[in-house]
Amino acid sequence: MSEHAAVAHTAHEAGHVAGHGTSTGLDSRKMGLWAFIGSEVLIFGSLIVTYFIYKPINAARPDAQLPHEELGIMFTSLLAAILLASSVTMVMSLAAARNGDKRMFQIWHLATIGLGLCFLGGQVYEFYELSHHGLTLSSSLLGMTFYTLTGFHGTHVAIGATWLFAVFLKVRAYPDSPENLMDIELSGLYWHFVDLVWVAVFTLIYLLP
Amino acid sequence: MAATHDGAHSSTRTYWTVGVILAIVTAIEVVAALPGVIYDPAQPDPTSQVIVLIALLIMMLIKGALVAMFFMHLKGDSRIFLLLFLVPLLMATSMFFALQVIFANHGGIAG
Repeated sequence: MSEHAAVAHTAHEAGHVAGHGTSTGLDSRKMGLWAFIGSEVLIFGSLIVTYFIYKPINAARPDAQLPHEELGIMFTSLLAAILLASSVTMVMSLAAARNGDKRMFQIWHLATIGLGLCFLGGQVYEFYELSHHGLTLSSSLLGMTFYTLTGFHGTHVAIGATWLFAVFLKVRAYPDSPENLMDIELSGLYWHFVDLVWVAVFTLIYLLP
Repeated sequence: MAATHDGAHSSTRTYWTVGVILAIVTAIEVVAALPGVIYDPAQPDPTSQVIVLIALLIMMLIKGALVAMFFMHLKGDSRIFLLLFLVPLLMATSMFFALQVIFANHGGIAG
């Protein structure tokens, strides 16, 4: 393995240096993560579909809890802005790492984690407020589908924040080595996907009339 | 391969520009969705409801495309990654429309 400690100049070499040889020239871990993201698209797609199937059924009930009455837009817009900002800081942390700027990488990476935790805190607060206003997991079809979808997404955010922190601890001394750059990129890809899901959830669940 | 890998990563100026665009589009989305701006739930109007629906979906797609292309580096990166993302997305979208058609007039699934 010591003979592979040399600096890689191509993605193909990077695959070998990192000990993840590939016949396509693409890092197999990156391929695996994109395949995982593809499966996650289907999972979140099924949860969103379930929400929309139950939406008119819920609305037809005499005791219906309706989305535009229960779900506030303004606070959730702030959460959406926070998550989008975290995507910006994440891509900036990767750019700083690629440029060999260790200090800025650390700042941007920690900012990403911080914004992610802010989003989670905001979501916990939102769930608390909604449950106190009567919208719970079992109160209606809206509650069931809403909490399942957004709770599942929140779990992904929590996992992402944990992953980002683990990557930070691992790479913070040498963020620009090929192996560490790939670690940062992979965790960033997952984080951007989590943000992408919220782009869809925010529009489809909170904003649509 | 190195060119492809480097070409997938934009400049920091591009990232900031995309971030600003995302913020602006999000703001427009929120304003458009506010009751009374285009659609008022108190006075439902099918035409304005369709307008809001289409506008919000277009803005959602714009934001999603920007995040996928620039932040996830799909633009300029290997097409295999684009396929790994787009094919499930198309499957999920097809599933959405198919199930909407199936359950459009079906109230039995939830009793």
